[in-house]
Amino acid sequence: MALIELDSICKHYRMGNETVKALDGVSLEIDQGAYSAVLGPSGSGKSTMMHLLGFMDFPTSGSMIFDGDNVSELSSSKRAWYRANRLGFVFQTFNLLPRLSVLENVRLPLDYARKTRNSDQRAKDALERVGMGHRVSHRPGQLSGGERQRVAIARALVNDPKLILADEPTGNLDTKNVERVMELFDRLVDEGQTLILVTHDLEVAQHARSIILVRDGKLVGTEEGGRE
Amino acid sequence: MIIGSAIIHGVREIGKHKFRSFLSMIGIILGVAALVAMVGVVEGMMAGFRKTFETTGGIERLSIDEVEPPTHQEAIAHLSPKRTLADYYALQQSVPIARRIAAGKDMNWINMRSQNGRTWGRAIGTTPEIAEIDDYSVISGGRFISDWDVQQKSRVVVLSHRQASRLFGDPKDAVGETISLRGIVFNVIGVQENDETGQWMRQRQAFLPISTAIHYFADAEDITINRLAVQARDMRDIPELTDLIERTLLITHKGVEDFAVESRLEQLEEFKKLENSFIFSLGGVAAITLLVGGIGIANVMLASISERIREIGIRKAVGARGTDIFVQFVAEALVISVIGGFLGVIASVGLVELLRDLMPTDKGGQVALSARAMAWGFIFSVVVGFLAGIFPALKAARLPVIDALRYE
Repeated sequence: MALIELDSICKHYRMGNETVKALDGVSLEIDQGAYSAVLGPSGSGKSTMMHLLGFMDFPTSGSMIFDGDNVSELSSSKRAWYRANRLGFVFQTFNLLPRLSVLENVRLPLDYARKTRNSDQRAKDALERVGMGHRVSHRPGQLSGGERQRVAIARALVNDPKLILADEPTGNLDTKNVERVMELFDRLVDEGQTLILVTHDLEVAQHARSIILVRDGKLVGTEEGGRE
Repeated sequence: MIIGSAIIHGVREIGKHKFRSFLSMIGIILGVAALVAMVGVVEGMMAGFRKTFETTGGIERLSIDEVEPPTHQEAIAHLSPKRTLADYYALQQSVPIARRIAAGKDMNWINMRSQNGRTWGRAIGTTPEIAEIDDYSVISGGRFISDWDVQQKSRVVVLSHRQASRLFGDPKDAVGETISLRGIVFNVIGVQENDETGQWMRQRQAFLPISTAIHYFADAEDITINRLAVQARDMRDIPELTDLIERTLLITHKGVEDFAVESRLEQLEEFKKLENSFIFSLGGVAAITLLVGGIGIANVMLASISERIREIGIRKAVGARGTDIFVQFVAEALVISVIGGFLGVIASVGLVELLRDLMPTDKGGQVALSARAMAWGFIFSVVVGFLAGIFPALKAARLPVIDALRYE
């Protein structure tokens, strides 16, 4: 069954007198347990796609079904609810809050989802899953880039999301850490996690089991297989 | 839970920017301190005024003042003997509902001599009731002027504490001794208690029976008095009493309306108006200071928010709603204002102490530290902080998540 169904989704922006078609009639299905990579050059619309899939933005037209519910037109607080309860994000720049400890950073989605019961334990479990259980009370500034990204992945995992979105997750990492992060993703998918990578790096994209090619706001092809 | 952690983060955030936060608090601190000190000064002043008001007869006191007769009575004005002791006796006969009736005549300054000393004093002719209306008491061993003294024109005198010590060393030794006033010998029958309010005038007054004063010290033919006061039993009696007094005095004054019965209600009204104008003007100053303090907080909050746009984006990306962000920043403003208000209350204690040393105390005024004013100052500062936090917090809450996340 499809977790996400996009049907002729458009996203248009007005820039002065011009209308920019960031996404122009994209239709797509992503199944439960899928591991897809959205691949395209910068300016292709893949970031916009990631924002839409991540409930950070809403489409100008078209419909989006998430987990059986029509989510094309949601209020901003409803979108926040989805972000807190159904999604996990991994960013290129990690986006950890420097003032908070590793544990507090990971716990943040639970705090905003008002899931306070056992939230510390759940955050610790998530950190264990990414191999960062020994760093709970550190500040992000005391960690290496690879460690920070693993903490960010733990934060994405902590609310048992339906979908994890990773936006250029390896862009700021060295080769060794890229491997570790990609291995971690592979393992999560093996455990049944649905995951979408957004990248312009073909090598990274090849870890995914299907590739979605985007160019000029249009879907130009999907490719099954990837690395398998 | 969100509010609790918002407050904890607010405290942490302020801890990171101690100096900046302190600067933003200064307005609040000064505002609260000014408010408390202002209330302290006004309340102290008004308490002093009230005390003087009470010790001089209170609201129940009516005084009968001399006024110009109306123009149509000019022809008969000379018939009136003006205010005299006859008025005093007439009132005593015909106004039984009065609590006390008193008459007085202020004389000139007089040279006073004992065997071993000399001093100056203001001689005041009185009837016995003055002691009660104006709250004079006599030290043990002596007594005040009596009705008998007034009737007999006795040559007796009640000295002030200061005069007695000047003339006899120990005031207690004065009673029973004789002194000379302008060459006339008087018996000292009493000495006034040392005056706690410390008023200059009260320390230099010597009381004689009013009849005696007129007889020995007034100009020839002058039988007028210059103080005539009636004290009511109750404020509600004042209209009836006024009417009775007017009717009685019209007879003794041969129909000439050369007197006026003045109640102190107008005086009390004036006093309340004065109190209000003080509160509004000084309160306005304190309110403006607090407002400026609020602007300071809003400014720091805006600065803090533009530094933390990315943080707001991250928080929103992982699920924070606009409300969560709003609560976080309002809580931060509240923490600043609560700390500021608290420091302001502490500062107000010092400021009030300082003012207490600077203000003269002989007017009966005492700067008071009012717990109520401190509570209000604190509450106002918190309200101001809250209001100052709303606009910046709304701005933060409305930031679109994508823009905030992309912000470098």
